[in-house]
Amino acid sequence: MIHPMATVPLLWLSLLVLALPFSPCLPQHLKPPSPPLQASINALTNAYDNSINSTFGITYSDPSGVACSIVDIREQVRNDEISFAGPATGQVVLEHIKPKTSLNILILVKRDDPSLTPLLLSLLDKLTSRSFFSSPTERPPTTGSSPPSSFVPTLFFEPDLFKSLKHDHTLPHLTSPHIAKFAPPHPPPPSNPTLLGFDPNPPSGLFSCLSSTKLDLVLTFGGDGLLMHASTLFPAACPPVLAVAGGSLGFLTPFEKASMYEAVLWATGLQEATDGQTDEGQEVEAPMPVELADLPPAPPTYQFPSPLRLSMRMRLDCRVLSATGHERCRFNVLNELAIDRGASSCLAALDCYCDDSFLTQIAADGILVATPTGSTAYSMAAGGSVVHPAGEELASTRARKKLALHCCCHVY
Amino acid sequence: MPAILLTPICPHVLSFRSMVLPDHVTLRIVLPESARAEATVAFDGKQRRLLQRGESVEIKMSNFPMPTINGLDHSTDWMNALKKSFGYNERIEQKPLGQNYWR
Repeated sequence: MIHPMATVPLLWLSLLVLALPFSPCLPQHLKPPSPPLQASINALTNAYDNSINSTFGITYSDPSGVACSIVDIREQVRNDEISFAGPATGQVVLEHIKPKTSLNILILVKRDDPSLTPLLLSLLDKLTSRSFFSSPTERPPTTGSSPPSSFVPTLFFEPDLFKSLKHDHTLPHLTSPHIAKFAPPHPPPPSNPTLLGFDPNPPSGLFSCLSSTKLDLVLTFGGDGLLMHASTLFPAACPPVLAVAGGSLGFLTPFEKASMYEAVLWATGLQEATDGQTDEGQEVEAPMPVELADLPPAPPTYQFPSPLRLSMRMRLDCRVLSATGHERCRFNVLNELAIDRGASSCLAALDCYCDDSFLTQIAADGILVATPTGSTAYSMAAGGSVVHPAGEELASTRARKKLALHCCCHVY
Repeated sequence: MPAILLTPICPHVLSFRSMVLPDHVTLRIVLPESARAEATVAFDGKQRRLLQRGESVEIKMSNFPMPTINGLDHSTDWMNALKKSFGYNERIEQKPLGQNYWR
């Protein structure tokens, strides 16, 4: 059971605002909040300040020691008493606020595993042969004046899979415009909207400038390794990822493959359109391919929880710098960065600095810098602590509500 | 939790324990000129590269997390995965003591 204080609506913008005080060197793309958001923040800060009747206050400072003005902090002072307004971490919740009129899903499948193909084809068949309408969170579809318009989601595949789907199988709807190839542009065609957000080797100057707003969901059907692959596809902003277990270990893949279709609908807020709402031309049910008919019957319906919850898996921005400070390469890692002695027989001797202060000299086989997600991978094998993947929390309930109300129009 | 873990692999000194650092720190790991050998660096176990003497790796929190959808919630999913994938702290249950043990 989740404590009510520990539930915060997912807001990309509010999370960015929280990240501001700790980022003295903000990338170019992280601009200050837009004027309406700034106005909201100011109003919020004033309201918060007025409620404090103390002779001193608390603010945060960035590592260089400069005090930052931020929206809200957990440590509060009321009547000269220092207290916490709430926990520092909490469960992040995703809300579909606006009904969608189209939906783009990138489907990533583990390579070279034929056992996954029948289930994948079954999913494709269900998603492309029916039409859907979007129902925003906690707002059931209106049955009154304006019925929601129905649509068929667009499914994107990596080039290899797209090719093999096209050549190896004869899905009735494969030729439909709702299946598309998702490929890195070389060189990038500037006006192709479907390719936004996808560049495995972005130039360092553009590292954070890619947008993934065109994709609503990334479905990974495989193991944890596929999630790492998905992470490399989106070095900048990443759409929500639905990880369906199709690999061996499955530490990061909570969804069962048997309920994959239901999970996709639940995660995207889609509902199957009833007969009256079906688009023309979509009503004719195409014959099932033989292999799909052989599938085992659907399992009992799994009750998906509401609201939809997320783990905001932190990644590390790693840059290799030459002796002169020139950037040689840059990667985002989801699990860990490992520096080791490689083929050498000597101990690795490394100097470790934390915020420009000398921390320690490392004499070991190597060193790992891991995220909480990576705490159960290599780091765990090396004896590191296991860390819960909770996201950060806005401390004040009031601030949370304010930001939620404001940001609704920005998110989804 | 928002944290960066620093874990040594087979450290030569036993007092080198793993550390959990806050997410706002910037780590810099330098291979000094005096190092006996070069090192290699790997990102998520892939993209292996040689780290020459004098070169360094700078690590900080990325502004872009990867949002993954939870089956139930972040705690339950995580604990279930620990139990299922790793058999976390599984052991044979200890029998209770007899009624008259302490008499």
